[in-house]
Amino acid sequence: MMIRMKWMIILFFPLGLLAQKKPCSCSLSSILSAGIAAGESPAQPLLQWSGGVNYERFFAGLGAGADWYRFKSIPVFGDLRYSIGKMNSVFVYLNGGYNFPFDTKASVTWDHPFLTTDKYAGGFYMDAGMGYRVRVSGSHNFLLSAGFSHKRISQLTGYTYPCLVEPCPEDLYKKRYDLGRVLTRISWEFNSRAKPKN
Amino acid sequence: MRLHPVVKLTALLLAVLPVCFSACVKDKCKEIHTYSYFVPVYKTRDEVRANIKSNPAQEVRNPGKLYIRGNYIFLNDVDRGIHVIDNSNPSQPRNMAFIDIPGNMDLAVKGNTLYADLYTDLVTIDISNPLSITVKKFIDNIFPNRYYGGGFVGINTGIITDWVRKDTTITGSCDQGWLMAMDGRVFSLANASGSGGPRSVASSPIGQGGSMARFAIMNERLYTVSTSHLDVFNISTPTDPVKTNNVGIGWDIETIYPFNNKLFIGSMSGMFIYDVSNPDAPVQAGQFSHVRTCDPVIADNDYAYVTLRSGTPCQGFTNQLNILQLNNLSNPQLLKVYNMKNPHGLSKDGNYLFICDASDGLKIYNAADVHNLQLLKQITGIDTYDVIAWAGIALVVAKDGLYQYDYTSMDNIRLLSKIVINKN
Repeated sequence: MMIRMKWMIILFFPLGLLAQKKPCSCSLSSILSAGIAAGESPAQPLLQWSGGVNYERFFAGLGAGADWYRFKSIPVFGDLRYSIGKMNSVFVYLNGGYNFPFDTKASVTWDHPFLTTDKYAGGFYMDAGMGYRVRVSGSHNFLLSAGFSHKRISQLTGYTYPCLVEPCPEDLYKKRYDLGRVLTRISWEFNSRAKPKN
Repeated sequence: MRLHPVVKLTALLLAVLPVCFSACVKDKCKEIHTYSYFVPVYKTRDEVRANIKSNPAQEVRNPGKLYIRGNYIFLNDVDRGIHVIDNSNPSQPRNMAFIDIPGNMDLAVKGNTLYADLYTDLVTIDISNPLSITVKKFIDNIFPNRYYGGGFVGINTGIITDWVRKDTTITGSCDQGWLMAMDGRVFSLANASGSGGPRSVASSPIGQGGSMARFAIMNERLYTVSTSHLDVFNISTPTDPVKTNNVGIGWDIETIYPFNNKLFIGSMSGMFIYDVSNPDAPVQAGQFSHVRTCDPVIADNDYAYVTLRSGTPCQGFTNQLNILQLNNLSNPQLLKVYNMKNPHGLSKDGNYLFICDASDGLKIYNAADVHNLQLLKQITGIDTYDVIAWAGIALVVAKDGLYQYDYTSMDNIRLLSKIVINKN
């Protein structure tokens, strides 16, 4: 009997705690962004979407986009934001994830007879900065943000030449690009839980 | 809507920021070049010759041509030697011994005598007991065109018996250009030139030559082709071959196939037919020219079957089977063309035509009507080089092993065995 009681307490204690908690002040957000990436290479556009959960001043979500800077790529990332100020007007953000190459073939434009590998490989992606939130309506915000971003992408070309001892080894050239750039974005943010207009 | 001054300021900053700071961020590029090269291991000529015996069996690394004699398969391992495989039970072939013959790419068997190349030399071996062979004769400098390409020069005092692979990685900036380190690396055009490569096959008591062989035996003569010449050896005393002739036959010669007192010789630019009615004096009887590709050839009474393939050493862009009519040997006529993926060796047994079509596997056709070949069976999942179809068993050399298929019932072709190739 005592053992059964102990199990009952273990099982229902967490539920009891939950029942005592205040209702969660969470809301869902969806952020659609367009921007420009500028760095050593010519400036290029980018598009991003991220969605996630707001909890008090925090936002955590997942995002993906299209990035044309130097090499076309598809970043997939986690998105963290923290809002500052009375009206949460200022925010800082940190995105981190993986950058998938868009093109399957590397930029070898001529038909090399010994070419055996010709592709791009993805790599680390990050983006950090700060921005300003302008409340447009109860659930719609307009965001302006800027920050620093880094994306890595590798170009792999391999050549297998005739050799004396088969299997002939491949000469592999991996060009690993680490691209730093400044991002500026304008975004439209939709919150599932409306807040009073500014 | 009136904008708050903070918004205006932010917008201004955002507009100016990329201009101000984009110069501060850089694109970095690092180039990582990974490559391997091979360092030769030398032995003296005496050491090499003393080691040509039935040594313990070794793993198959790079199979080339093969010969069947009785219950034994003699399988060339390119540049290393010959595996002796007991095939008395094709379902369970046993690798019994290895004959170390550095530089070996070709072989032929007549009775109890095996002929093989040792780089530039011809070696004659008594294989009466395949597990205890004895060397009978060396003939020096028979194959002078056997060379190492890419600027590699061997030393005169030694024979290369093995290669040690060295893996290297160099890291640098992309700006410094191509990191082409040639330190000790060896490139060879040997495979491309006709000095050999992973090609194959032929058989016994005089041997049914495979389509990619460069040695052929007909009656009392051994014929060998180099890149430009046809050599004739009198082997009426099998253990004492005597060179009787050397005939210039053009360039880029690849294969030789004997049939009915004729030699069908495949070159990159065409097929030559040589009449050997006088066995010591081959005479060109006919020729068929085609685009520049690799082209093993086999023949029967009425037709020649030529596979043309493109690829690194072969050049060209043609991949097809050509069937030629041989009723007028002086002028063989192209009868029919079948497109293939990348055909290599081929073999014919009765009306069955076997074609190794690289990654498309082994294709078996009913060739009773050459105008309308019927694909009976395609064995996929193997990357095939060459085939001997003989007595109901097809020996197939593929990238990953030596396969044996029982085709006594075409409706039920069975895989009997596979000898795995160790690529390490």
